[in-house]
Amino acid sequence: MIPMRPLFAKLVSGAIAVTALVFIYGSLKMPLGTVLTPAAGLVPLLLGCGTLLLAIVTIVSPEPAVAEDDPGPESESNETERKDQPYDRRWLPRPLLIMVVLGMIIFAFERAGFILSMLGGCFLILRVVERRPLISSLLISLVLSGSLYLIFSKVLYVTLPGGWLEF
Amino acid sequence: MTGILNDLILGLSIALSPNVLVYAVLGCVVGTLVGVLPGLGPLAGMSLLLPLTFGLTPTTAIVLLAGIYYGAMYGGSTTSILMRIPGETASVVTCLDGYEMARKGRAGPALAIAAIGSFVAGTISVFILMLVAPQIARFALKFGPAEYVGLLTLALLSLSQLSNGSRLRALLMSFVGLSLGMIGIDPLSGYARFTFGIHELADGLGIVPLAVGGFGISEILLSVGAKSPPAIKTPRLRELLPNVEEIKRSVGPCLRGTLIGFAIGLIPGSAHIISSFASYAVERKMSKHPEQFGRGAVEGVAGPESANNAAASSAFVPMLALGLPAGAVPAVMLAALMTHGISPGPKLIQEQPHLYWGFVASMYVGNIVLLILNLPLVGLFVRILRIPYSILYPIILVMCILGVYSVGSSTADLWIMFAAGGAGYFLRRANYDIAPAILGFVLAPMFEMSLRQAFTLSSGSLSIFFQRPIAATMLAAALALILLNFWGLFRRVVLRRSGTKP
Repeated sequence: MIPMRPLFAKLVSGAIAVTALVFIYGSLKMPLGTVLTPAAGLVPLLLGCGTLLLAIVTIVSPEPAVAEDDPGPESESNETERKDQPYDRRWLPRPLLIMVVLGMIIFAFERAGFILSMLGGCFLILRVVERRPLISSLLISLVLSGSLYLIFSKVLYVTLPGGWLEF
Repeated sequence: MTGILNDLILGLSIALSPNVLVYAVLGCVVGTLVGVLPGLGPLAGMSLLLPLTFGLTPTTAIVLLAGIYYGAMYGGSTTSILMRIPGETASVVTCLDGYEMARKGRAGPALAIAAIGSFVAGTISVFILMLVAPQIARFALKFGPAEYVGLLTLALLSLSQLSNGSRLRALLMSFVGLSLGMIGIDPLSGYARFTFGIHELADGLGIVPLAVGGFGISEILLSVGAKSPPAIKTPRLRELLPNVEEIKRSVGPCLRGTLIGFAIGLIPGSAHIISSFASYAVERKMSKHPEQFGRGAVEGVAGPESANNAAASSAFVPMLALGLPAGAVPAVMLAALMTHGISPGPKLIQEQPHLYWGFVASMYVGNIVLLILNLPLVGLFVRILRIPYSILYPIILVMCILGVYSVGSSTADLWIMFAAGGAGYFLRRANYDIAPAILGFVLAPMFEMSLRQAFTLSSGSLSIFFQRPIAATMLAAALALILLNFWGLFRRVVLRRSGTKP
């Protein structure tokens, strides 16, 4: 079980509550019908209200005790870095970096094409995020994008975007 | 009985003939590959290869497609167990305990139990199908909107059983999932709900991008964000197969999962995912150690995997016996048969006995082929865990993107996966479980559609739920479950106040 950070958990519950409010607002703009003849908006409205109620109850409920050895995300830890790759804490957190690279891959997927976007994205993750050597990062990215292209495109006949390498 | 045995021998002679056997093996191999790749489900695999069957005989065509279907069901559990990414949607539940088993160095036993459970379930299902297909198919046709409301109400009640953490949070996530299921065009009125003018959202969010993002991407983000690499214990050679204790604990869940999956798979339109999570909920309720679920309980793998394989077999019952496809996959099989000028139905057994019994026997042969194929591959699959995680997770990421894109060839699905991954990361860091949300998402549209159809049929009267015996029975069972839960809660509160341990 992931050690829980009470404030963070309540923030997430709050975000769910806000989303539920948006949901309720949108539902009220639709035809609701009646309980026994529901229209498009009634079930979403009921679900939105249920979600909001549960989110509020979750926010006001006491949180389970946090583990004593859990430093929480805000603390600076002196723990040793990952054994396989040192991580420079001045950089953005890894999950955020991964999401940025993932977003770039998706953005480029149909524009630059499958091979180039995958090649570039893998290389960025291996070289920039994981700080792997240049040659191995390039080789792994090439092998990965090439082999998956062959499997999906030639064996499974999945249409993949060619992009700038249209052939 | 003698007649059935003779027919089965006829079927086996056809299924074991070299040209049919080759296509059975080919179908199983392709299906396993399709199942292993996240997002690319059996329907996509069968649809893509359907044109290849036009030049084959009817028997070999249907055997090839069935092999792909079974193979995908087998293969879908592999990535669920090794990487927590559901290979196909029915394997979502296997992610819960299968991955935890892998983290504890029990990846081999988890894969083996999944394969053996699937084999046992498939074998028993084929046997039942062989004996009573037409009778069962007629019962399945009695399911109308009111019966679906009853079934789905029972399914919704078990959503809170899926999470090992707070029931309140599991319930909240269920509602989040149910709400997400409302996005898209309302099938009854045509009203666009929460699409914000984005036409790609007209068909809803899609289970594949949500499941792959919510499970797979969030798992990657959590793992890379951890201070140390994910603690996945690499098993030794002698730990690749389940021990006696694990086998003993799997027998009951396997048999129960088979019956649950077979029953639910018969119902036209029911999602296989319902059978696997119904089995999970039952096993958790029956277990003497429910706290182990979500932490690597072997029952949490054996039951659901058996259930979804049994559902895969029983899904063919209405198609074979009555010519009515119970879902998208049997519909593709039906299309394959119709291109060869064959119309399945009540007369298929009399008019085309070699096709019917050849197909039934090939289902059994396919299960054996898959067991022979997958058990030795356990060691190979487990070696994947030896790859340094810093290299493994980019591979997983790329496979996720490809798998999701291959479903609809749409970048909108990729963005949904992206958003689901980000949301899943934050939710899991706040100790919310994703599984109830994913399953709520699957159930919501079916439940709402059935409810509104039932009310339309009854002109807004509740009597439809009491007049139809199957619906009334299921709703009574749902009510009994609710009352039991409240009684249990009441007892715990009273005992706690009196200072006595519950």
